[in-house]
Amino acid sequence: MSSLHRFTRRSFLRGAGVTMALPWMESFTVWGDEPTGKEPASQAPVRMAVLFAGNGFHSREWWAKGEGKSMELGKVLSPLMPHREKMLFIQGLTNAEAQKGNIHSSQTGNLLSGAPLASGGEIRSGTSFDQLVAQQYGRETKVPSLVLGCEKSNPSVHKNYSMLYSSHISWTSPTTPTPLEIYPALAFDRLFKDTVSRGDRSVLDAVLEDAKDVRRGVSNRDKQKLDEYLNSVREVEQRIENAGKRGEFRGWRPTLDKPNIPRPADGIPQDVGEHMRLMCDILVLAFQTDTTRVCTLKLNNDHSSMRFTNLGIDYMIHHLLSHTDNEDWLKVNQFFLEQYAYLAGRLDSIQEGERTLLDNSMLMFCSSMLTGHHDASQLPVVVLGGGGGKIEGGRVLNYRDQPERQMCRLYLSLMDKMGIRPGAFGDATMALQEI
Amino acid sequence: MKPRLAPILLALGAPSLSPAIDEAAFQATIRPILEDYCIDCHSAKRQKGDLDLERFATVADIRADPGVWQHVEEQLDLDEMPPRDKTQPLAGEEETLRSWVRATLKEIARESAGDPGPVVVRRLSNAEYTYTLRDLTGIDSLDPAREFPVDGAAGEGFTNAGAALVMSPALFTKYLDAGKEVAAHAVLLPDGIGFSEKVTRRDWSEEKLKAIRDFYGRFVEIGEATRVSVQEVSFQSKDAGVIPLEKYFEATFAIRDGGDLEEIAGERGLSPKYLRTLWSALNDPSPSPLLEVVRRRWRESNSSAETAATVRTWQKALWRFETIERVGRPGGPQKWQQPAAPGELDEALRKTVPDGMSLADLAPGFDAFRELFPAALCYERIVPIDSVVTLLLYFREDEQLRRLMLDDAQAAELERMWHELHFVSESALRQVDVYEQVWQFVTQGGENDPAKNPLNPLREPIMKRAEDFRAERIAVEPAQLDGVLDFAGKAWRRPLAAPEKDQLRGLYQQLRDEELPHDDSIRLLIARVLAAPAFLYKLESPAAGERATPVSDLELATRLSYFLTSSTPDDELKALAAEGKLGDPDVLAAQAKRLLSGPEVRRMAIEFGAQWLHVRDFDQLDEKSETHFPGFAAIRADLDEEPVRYFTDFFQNDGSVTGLLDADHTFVNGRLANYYGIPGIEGDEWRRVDGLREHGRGGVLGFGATLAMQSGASRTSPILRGNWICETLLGEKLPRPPKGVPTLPEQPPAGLTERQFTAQHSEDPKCSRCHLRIDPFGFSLEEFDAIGRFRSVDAAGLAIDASAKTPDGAEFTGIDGLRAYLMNKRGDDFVRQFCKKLLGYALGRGVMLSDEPLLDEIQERLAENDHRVSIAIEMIVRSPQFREIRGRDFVSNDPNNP
Repeated sequence: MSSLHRFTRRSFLRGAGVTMALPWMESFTVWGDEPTGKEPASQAPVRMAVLFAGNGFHSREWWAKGEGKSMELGKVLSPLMPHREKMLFIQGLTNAEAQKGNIHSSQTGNLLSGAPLASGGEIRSGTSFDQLVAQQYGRETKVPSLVLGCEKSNPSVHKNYSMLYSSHISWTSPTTPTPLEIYPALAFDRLFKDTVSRGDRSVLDAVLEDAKDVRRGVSNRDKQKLDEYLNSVREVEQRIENAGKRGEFRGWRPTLDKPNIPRPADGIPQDVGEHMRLMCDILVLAFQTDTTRVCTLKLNNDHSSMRFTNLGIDYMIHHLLSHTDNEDWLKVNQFFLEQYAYLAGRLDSIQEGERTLLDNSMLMFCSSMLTGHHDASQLPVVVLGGGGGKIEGGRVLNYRDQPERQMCRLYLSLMDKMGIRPGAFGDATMALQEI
Repeated sequence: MKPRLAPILLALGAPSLSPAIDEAAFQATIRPILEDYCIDCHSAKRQKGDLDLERFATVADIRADPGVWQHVEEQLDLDEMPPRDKTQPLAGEEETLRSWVRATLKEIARESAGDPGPVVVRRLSNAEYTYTLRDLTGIDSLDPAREFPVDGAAGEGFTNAGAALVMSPALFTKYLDAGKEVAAHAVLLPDGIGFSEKVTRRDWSEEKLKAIRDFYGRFVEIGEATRVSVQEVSFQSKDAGVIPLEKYFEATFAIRDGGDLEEIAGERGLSPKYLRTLWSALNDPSPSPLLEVVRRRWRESNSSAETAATVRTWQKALWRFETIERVGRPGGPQKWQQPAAPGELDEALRKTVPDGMSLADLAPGFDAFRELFPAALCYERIVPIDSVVTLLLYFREDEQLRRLMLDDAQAAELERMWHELHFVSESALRQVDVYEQVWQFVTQGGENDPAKNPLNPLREPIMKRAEDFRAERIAVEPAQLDGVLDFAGKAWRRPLAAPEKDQLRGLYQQLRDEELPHDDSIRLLIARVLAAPAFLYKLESPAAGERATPVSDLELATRLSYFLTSSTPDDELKALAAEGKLGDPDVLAAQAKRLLSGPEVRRMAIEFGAQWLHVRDFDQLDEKSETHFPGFAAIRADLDEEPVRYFTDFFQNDGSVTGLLDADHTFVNGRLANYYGIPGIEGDEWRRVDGLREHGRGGVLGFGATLAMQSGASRTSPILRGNWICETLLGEKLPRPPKGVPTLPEQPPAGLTERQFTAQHSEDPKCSRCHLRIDPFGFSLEEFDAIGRFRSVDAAGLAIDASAKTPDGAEFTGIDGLRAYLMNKRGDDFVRQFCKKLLGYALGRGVMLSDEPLLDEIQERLAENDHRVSIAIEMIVRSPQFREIRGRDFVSNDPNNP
């Protein structure tokens, strides 16, 4: 029957999510063919970060050609010149579900999952691949993942789609957009604030019991909602348990034990650039100390209202600027790529044995659309870093004319480098062979 | 095409006779139309736009998933489908399909009317969390969610819908930390716990001290200066705490003129007890020489001032004050206020008595006078300041006050306050330290032999008091633990079950076993209460099975109070729920009315009103160019406040829903009035101003905040404003913008106004269909600049053209024209949209097909009742969707809401 068909298809696409509705500790072994984190003890682990900028890029200046040293880059990408030999420029990938529904809001919320988005004021996407990684790979580290942002999310519903979609790329479960940390100081605390107050453990146990009690008498949907709570408390508890125990059984040691920069000041820096750099610095610190191996940094929202006083462009907000495609738009694009380049540069300056931290990382940069005109028929993607020697840089990959050009194939590739092989993810069943 | 109109017209012609959905018409007429024009693309196989219409083989299939058909209805209404480049249905066919879909949906809506719908368990939003904590603790300055991630919106676009209210480890940690922060404000009292704005013992002691002073201040007034001398240092003590004699004598004259004593005391804030005593003393025939002097003056002068002056003259002569430091010391006086007697009738005294009267004649009346007129009722200052070195932390002497003025309840209250002051300040312990210091000081002062230190006799009682206090502190620990349990009941919005109480007590004990001090354990227990799901989530227990059942009275109290006040139920609501009365719809409606008239409805003005209009948190808007509008940041907060004041008044005073559009008033302070060019209004104070048409203000269309919000950083945007009117105010469903929207330059090319420039853009055929509907509304508001100010020329100095022509042929100009057009032509749409948003906000979910009958009914009743908003609110709270919950095992057909 046709309705059955429809259901099956949806269920398949949501595969990840359905399972993840269980508390993660019970479900984590479901994934992958082999247990994770079994790298030889002498090798540094692979780290992964996704940087996101909303509203696409200049229509004529997002391109790359050539190979290795002789690679040429469009003006938007010019800040990446120093890193071109460690860079993959990927063209033509797309996310079929993001081309349905509304512009903006329904182009972002499923960017990292490929899942269909619920409309009508409901919230449902899919677990994003970074969170899938966090839920497995993340167990090795003190903090499973860091989900950062530089712009507050937008509390409204736009053309029947919640704007939560346009401000969240990371999803812990299909119904849980991962809340973003936009305060540098609090992001820092999340990584390094280890002082466990006496009695906290007992309090956590107590509220966990509460949640289990409550969970018994409610509907399935409410159970899912309460699992958000339950899993959150468990993770905090886990963290307390692990405090002080880290690294004891591991051969490989991070090059840094504790932060080498002071805790950032409270509040949000007035200057957008400063805010973004601070977040990048925290990300570097997180990777260098091996406090977490997975991070998403949403530099701004899709449908962003950021203004760039720092660039002398304050007459128009980011979203409206994206529709102009003018010189200032180009300047703003470059500014975002400069942050990306800064991050890569910092990681590349840190030596971890033979390789640099950048060589041991995969930094993906992406947006929800290619240009400001909502064109998501192909998505802009760059990957920097060697994935632990598993990715060969200095290449342009073009999937424009290929039949299987799902963005989710790239996620399968990236997850593969971290030893996570779910078989299928989103609307893809095979990784990109070229990566 | 063969005509297929007959059967369906038959069915539609007599809807009352055939309310059931007509399967035959669907098979004979509708499905063929679908097959001809729709199913090519929307087949099970192709599912274009994710839509499969082929699967609807029977009416039962439609009934199982009507959401899809609401979407179909929208597409037909918008004239979006079939696409222009595909075969178009015949005129009759399209109408047939449309009517059938509409009638079918109406019927399905009727069948499922009142379905409580899928309401996923709701976490408190950041705003609700904050308001709730403020109400629970009484501390309005608490801002515990200031660094929480912004909540998302779902449902009808509000941040109170469960789906958008998520949790994460990082957020949970913030909740736990915020709970600890709140717990730091807890003050441990002898009989439980309280909360203070402050977090140090020193500040808490000051608060308790101030509370007693305020209490005294209700009865006494600052006396005249009394000069005292201590160890060659002079102090002015101005805080004698004297009887406000004039007021009392004033009152006695009123009684004499026929007034009722109790009433007069009540009206004037005087102690009835003292007024009674004074009145009978003044009218007492029994002889008392000095009182007789007062009585005579009272009778003859008819002046409260003169009578009081006489009393004061004698008070000065018959009382004296000791140095407080000496009171209670070995060999010192027992009291601060002591009786005295004049050695002679001096000039002042003589003036008050009849000629020839001697001191000896008067002396027998001194005691009676002192009895009635002590010079001080209490030592109002409490903290002694009349010596350089003082042993006393707090000095209490208020038995005159208690004897003359306080009733039993007041005396008990005062007793409790003093107890709390000593308890909170730990004065008994501090006293020990002070004693040691002063003892040393005295020793250095010449008495070199410690054994002869005059303070030695005080040591034992001071040590004893400290010991007693330590014992008391331990003795009241259980009461404080009970205090946390009481607090938990309030925080969790329901009485605690016995196992929950045991669990909380158990945790307390566990913390103590972990060697946490009592204070810390109590505070951590409070943090635990505030991190619990029962506090953070509005939990409801659905019945087993699929059927909807009423929620419990307590759950209903929570629903109602969060709807109207964004916070926890107040005492009255809780009491009614506890008595099981709230389930009665009449009681519920009466409570809604009560809450609507209270000050907390301001929160609804923000969370519903401002959020609906997309101007919540406008005061934090950082989207305007400083280069173009350097003064904007300074007016933001006032622009933000206007809609909040407006909606608060609207709810409190039962405003008219259509009045939101055509009101002639708004709320301004001096700054905003000046910004709007409204003359004659100055100062910070907010006030309602009427007659604003000439200034282009009044109602929601004239809010500077919305006009600015729907503009760019440096220029206006008729498109944004027009779209806001269409979607936000009128609830139109516009199709999404086409892919590949043409480029817009950032500044209008030379010589073009913003309007002309917009018009040019909208001429693109891909865009024009929507823009014809959107832009005219925006054009009519062009007389307002990008930050909501009135203007007659644009940024480039070109004249503003605010004329508009809508697709239905209407022509109008400016905000007045727009207002009239909306009122006359679109009033019903506006009211419908308001009701829809209000219902969605009340329920915390999106409005569904099964809500349509309720919305119809509300709209009807509003029309009959002058559109008073209380009607809509009452009907919502009486509705089954507000009062009921779906069964726990309800299975939804909607794939979006499994």
